[in-house]
Amino acid sequence: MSATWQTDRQRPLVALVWSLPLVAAALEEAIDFADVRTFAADHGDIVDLLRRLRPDAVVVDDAPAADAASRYASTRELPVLHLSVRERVLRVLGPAGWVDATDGADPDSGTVRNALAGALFAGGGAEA
Amino acid sequence: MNPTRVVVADPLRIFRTGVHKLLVREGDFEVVEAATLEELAAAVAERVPDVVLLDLDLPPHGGVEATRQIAHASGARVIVWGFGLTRGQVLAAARAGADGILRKEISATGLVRALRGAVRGEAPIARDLASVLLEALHGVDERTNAIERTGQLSPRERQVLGHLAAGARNRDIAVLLAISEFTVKRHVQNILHKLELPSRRAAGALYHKAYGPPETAAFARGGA
Repeated sequence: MSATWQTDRQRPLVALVWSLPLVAAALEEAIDFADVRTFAADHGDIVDLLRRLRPDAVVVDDAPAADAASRYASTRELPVLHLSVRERVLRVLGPAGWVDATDGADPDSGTVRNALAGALFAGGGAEA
Repeated sequence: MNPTRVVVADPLRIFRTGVHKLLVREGDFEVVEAATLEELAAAVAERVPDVVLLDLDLPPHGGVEATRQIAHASGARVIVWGFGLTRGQVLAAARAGADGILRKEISATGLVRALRGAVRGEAPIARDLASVLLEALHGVDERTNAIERTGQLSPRERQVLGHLAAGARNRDIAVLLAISEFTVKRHVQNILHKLELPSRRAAGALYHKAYGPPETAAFARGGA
């Protein structure tokens, strides 16, 4: 097992970029193994935000934010998770692009938590 | 104080569980989840909820149909919510008996406040959706007013008004009603006088407000 977050941090830092406050609140509570910083998706340049924050992982709940996060992550080994609430899909960005991590199940906050833990602690999320 | 009993009826698990946890944390709510209308009906029968938070996409027939059934069958306040609500959905939900209409983009604090308000008899409505309901209400008022005004006309005058609204000339109306053109002219004068309108065009517009497009459109000027 290998942790992928920055070694100067005791816990990984997760940027949670949301468009649905209720979903963000549920995810923030569920991701109990990381420091979570939440940001509204419609407030400014997400790539610039991520560049300044330097998170160890990004979780988003809307498509434009997912695109922006994937652009930021393209030059870094950074887990990006996109929870598409309306389509009931959790996608994880890996070397080959986005991969469905839900396997047909209706994802909840626990699904996101576990996929994120896999991606951060074992690098497993992206290969799911 | 008794806890507020809430049924969260939503096909999306993340919303069901998210709202459930949020409300339980508040301490004064009891929550039951339902993913379908069948589960909702069972929960309502068993728990007699104070509030039902109902998603517009609730299977199998959608939230409007579910609202119609639940609002009439229980004393619960029904709050409908959804993504990107259209004008039609808002009006349909209101007509089906919804006591409140919210967007799923609402904040946690906003949702808790809305549910508590609903229990007190308030009608929580997303601010941008309130205008939809008011506009619809204004439309109904205008129509009612127009119908009342035309109600003072005789049946024959209303008939003539319908032809006027369709754009027919006096000569056309005379032929259609088998009366003289002079009589039609008298009817038109009476109509304008009774309705206190300045022109045939204004009379036609009032007819449209009251009854919509006249069925006599085929007799309009172009066809005469």
